[in-house]
Amino acid sequence: MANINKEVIPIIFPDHGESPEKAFQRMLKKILSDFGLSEIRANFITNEFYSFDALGFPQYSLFRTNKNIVYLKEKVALHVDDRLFEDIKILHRGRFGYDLERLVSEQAMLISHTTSTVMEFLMNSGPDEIFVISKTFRGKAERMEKTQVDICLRNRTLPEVISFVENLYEIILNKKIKIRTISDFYFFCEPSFSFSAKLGESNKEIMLGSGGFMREEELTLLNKKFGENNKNIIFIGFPYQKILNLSLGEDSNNWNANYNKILKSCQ
Amino acid sequence: MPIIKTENSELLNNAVCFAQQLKCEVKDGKIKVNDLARIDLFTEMGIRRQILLLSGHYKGCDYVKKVETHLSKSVSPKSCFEINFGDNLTLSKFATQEYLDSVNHYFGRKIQLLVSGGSLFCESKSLLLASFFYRAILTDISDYFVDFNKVKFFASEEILKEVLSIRKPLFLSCDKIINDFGNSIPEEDIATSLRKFGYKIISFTKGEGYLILPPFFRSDIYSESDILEDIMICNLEKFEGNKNIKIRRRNNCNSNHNSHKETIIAKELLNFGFKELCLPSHKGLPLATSIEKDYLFRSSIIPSLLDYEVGNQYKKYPHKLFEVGIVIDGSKQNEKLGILISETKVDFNELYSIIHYIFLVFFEKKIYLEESDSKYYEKGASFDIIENNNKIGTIGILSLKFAKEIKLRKPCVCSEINL
Repeated sequence: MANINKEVIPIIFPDHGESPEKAFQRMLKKILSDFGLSEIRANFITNEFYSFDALGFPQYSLFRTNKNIVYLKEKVALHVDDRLFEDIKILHRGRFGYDLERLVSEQAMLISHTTSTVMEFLMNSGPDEIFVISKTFRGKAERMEKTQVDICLRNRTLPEVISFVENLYEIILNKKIKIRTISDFYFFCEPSFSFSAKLGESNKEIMLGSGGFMREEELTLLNKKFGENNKNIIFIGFPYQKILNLSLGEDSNNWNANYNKILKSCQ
Repeated sequence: MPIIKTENSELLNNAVCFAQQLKCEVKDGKIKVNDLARIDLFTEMGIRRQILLLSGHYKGCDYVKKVETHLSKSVSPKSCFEINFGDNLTLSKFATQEYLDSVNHYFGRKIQLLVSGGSLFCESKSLLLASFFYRAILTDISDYFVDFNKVKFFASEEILKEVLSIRKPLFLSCDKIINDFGNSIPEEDIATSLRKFGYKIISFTKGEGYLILPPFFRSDIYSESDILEDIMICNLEKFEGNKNIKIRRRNNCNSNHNSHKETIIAKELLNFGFKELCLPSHKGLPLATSIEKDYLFRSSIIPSLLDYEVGNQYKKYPHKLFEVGIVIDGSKQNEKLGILISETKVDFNELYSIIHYIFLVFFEKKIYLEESDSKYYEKGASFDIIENNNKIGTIGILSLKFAKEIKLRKPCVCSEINL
């Protein structure tokens, strides 16, 4: 018989386990991959072209201030393909009546929203159904760093998109969800919309995402560039922190939650 | 967002009823317009006009005729115009401070509206934008000022040409409607929705589409996407998820290589009793003072782990922490794994054997150590991690001097590896 020491006390690690935030990201990645979406990784360093110009934010837009843009310490220019730049320049001239300045467009900055990653992918690799989860950075004291989730679908109708979002939330939150569609405004999406649903004990209406269809002129440009015949491309952004809070049973609007203090046992 | 102040309670109530279609919020006697492209809604008159259109009571006039008959005198430069209201009182009814502020705020770099001596001046660097505003202002004046003939317009030939030429019919195909909305909206509702936004249907061919003339004051209509938007917001209640709709799934989706790697590493380290962290990517808090000029993005994960460790020394030892995250070095981005073990007696070999095991078993990479002289590690306990003759990381026992500087009470062994 083996010599067993009954007095050995198993080592218990007092503070160990998954980060709830990282665990949630892994779960979300798995769900979205199961829906057939491919993951793309965000480049933390991007330029104003993909962050704003390609999305139809005019260079005079008030949104393009230091509050929403964090430039790198070193002034670096990230080159944009000449043909692509010219195509987008034509769109801006037609819609807003001015010429894009290349110097402004190529200025390197930290990623400020994940839609820019999606747009960069679409412009360089062609339309596909993709998702991206990444930290984003802005110059506001209350929003220095925030994780965002963006997905891109193609050739789907609005009712299909609503069903997709309902399905996604039902899996994440493990309850039945009835989505309401609301009108919204984004420079880069027409038609644009938001989603909301009544959730929680108080049955409070919570915004569960927003997005829209890629504008026709940009879709035509993409189809021409890649020789495809996509009928539409849909962008959807999800309120990452709200969903994370809901999935952890916290208040959905708790923006200051310290997830590193929340213990999640090792699985 | 552009704000319209009004004491007209009927208008406010109507704005609440049509908030979805106007894309606005109503609060404390103010209407906040969310759609920045709709400059025709920047005024109280614009809101009133859209509400009348939506409720089917709007009687428009022939603006093109007004442009042609009332505008004669030319001004320079080519993208500026002047509108003389005759007296200041009439002008102030139209060009309210909120209106001027909104325009100057949202188009400040490209267009500016100024008020002086009973006249409204527009200065712009863009001919197109100036003509957009000209159309919006002209519509407001002709819709709501009885003495239209008293108002004098001075615009350049270029602006007049632009005002009249940019209004072209657009074709909206039935395929596009079905591709975006499915069969949710019946044909007759599409025509009704278009009329509610002031579009004129020139012709309709069943199964093909609509030839549509956008309203004179809508300078935001650029392509069929803009028309679809208006159709959608008139029929929002018709869109709903359908459980019978089968979500098309593909089998060939790609799992990102780095994500997969991160998952394996996390899983293994968790099995070894580590705590996973997700720390801020900016180093050194508070940041508020250095936001604009000096954004400090971390170039290594170890300082973040040490920062966390310093604040959590009250917890029961051992502390075994790790994080997989992005760092930026100069203008290059890298994904790194940072690991830290802190306890009364740190075992350098324990951490190295864990790393060695993960890399060998899961990534088939043979790693070995080469002595280095990092100033943050103890002499003789500072190594570079080498794989295939390339340095992929560092490992070492934190120098006691440095640990004392940052007020760490227990020794630490740290490692950082490029993924």
